[in-house]
Amino acid sequence: MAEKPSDLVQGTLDMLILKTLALEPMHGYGIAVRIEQMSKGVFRVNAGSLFVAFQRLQRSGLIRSEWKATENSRRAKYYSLTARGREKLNSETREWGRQVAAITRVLEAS
Amino acid sequence: MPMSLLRSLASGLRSLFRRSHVDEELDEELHGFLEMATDEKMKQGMSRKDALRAVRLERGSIIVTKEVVWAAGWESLVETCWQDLRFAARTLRKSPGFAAVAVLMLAVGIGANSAIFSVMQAVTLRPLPYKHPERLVLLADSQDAASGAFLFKDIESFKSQSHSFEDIAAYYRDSGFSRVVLTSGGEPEFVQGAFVSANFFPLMGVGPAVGRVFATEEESHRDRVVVLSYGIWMRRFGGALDAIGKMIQIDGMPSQIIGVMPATFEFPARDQQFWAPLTTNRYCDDPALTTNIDPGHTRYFYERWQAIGRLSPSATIIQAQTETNALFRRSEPGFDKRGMAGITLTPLRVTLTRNTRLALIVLFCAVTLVLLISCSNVANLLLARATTREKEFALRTALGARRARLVRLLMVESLVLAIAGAALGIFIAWGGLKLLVAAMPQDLIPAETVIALNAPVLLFTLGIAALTARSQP
Repeated sequence: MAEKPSDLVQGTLDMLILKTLALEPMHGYGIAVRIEQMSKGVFRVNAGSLFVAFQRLQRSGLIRSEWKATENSRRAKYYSLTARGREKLNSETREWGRQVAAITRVLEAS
Repeated sequence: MPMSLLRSLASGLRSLFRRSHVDEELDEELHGFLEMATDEKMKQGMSRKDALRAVRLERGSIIVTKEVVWAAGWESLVETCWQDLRFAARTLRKSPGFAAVAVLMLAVGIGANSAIFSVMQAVTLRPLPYKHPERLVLLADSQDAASGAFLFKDIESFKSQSHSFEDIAAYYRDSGFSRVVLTSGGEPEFVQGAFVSANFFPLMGVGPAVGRVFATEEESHRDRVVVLSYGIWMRRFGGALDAIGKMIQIDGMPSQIIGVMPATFEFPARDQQFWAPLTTNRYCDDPALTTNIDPGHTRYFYERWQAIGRLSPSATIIQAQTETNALFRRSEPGFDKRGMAGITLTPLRVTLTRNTRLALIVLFCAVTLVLLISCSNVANLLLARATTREKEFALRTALGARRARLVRLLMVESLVLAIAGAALGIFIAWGGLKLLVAAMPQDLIPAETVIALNAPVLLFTLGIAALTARSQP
């Protein structure tokens, strides 16, 4: 591997989790793998920050969870997006785009 | 977002009170997580042992993750605080000498403060037991604002001509004029009474506890009726309702009891035993008053009446004073020959607390200093103890305690000390207050006040305790 996987930008993990769950309900490991795949291995998510984020998101009512069997017939907790979570994802995505564009403009100005 | 706040509260409480359940659930979830990661590695050809190791390195161990998740919720704060509290209690129990000295010092400081604050609060902060007491003012000669008195016609002219007052009542000043011999079956007593105009009671805005007060007609008919103080009613009649209608003798003249005032009503004087119509005073017919002023007497011989007024809601005390002075100058062109400099209006509260206020403030500052000193003593004790505990803290730091956590531990320890000090302090305050009230000259404290420990004082004490805790580590 050329570059070591980097830590996430502060505060973006929630957004990435929401985005992952927007496609389908998923268990913790699935979410971690999906984030890593989608970022093409740039991000690596450790269990600590992931589960803290789950707790936080669940407490603010953006996601909910239920125990289900996995495809390998293991029991796992599946997380899914609530309506408010979907709303939040949309607004966060917009805000993120705005900020990235602004930062890029600043960085590219000479 | 109250909904999410509620959800967070519910979820936090669940993990506080059903910790093992929540713990197991997280445990299972994490195990699954790590199992899946291990399976993935094994599919890539690692041995199970290597795969487990790799996963732990990449994703973190179960124990650490569980700690991290637990610490992220608010409920962990509750639990660690409880731990700190128990730990603090244990530590203090281990050094009883230190704990006792510290608590005692704080208790003395806090107790003294609360006792003085109780007195201050009763004397200067609590409302007087009259209707809108802030509008009650005493009228007096500017040179003698405490007890200056007037001619009766002065008061009558203020009353009839002034617009700043709702009403003005007159009463005999308290020297020889209202000291009388009172007889009611038992032994005669020499007591302080009050001879007041009939509008006095409505002006103060206080009705009788029992019976009635006298009316204007009774004053003008010079009816011998009397309203007793609560104190003498209890002392002489045992608080019996049939005291109303009985006769007592005031300076040998039989007077009928028509009512009793509430215990808190003690104006104009503290040791007031009764109120009777102004016109029944034994000096009312004094010929000296109806003839011209005799230069052989001092003005104090003639100026026998004091006045208390109720300002009308629209008038300020300054307006009232200006108006009264103007009226006085107009109606009494030679007033300065009487040796008067003018009229000063003083709010009733100020008059009642005049002598006490400053003394109390000084005393309060003194006991606050005492509290500060005891705080700094305790702080020193804690510091001295901290140096002997250096090793303990070094060990804790080595084990991974953060600085904030250590500070919190110490804070909780001083909080425990401060609360114990406050609890003991309340007892000291209670005892000290009894001593203070007993030691104070009776006439220093305005009669209308009841001095006792009460909710504001206790809140004040707790506030001090909290501050004390803050100031120590």
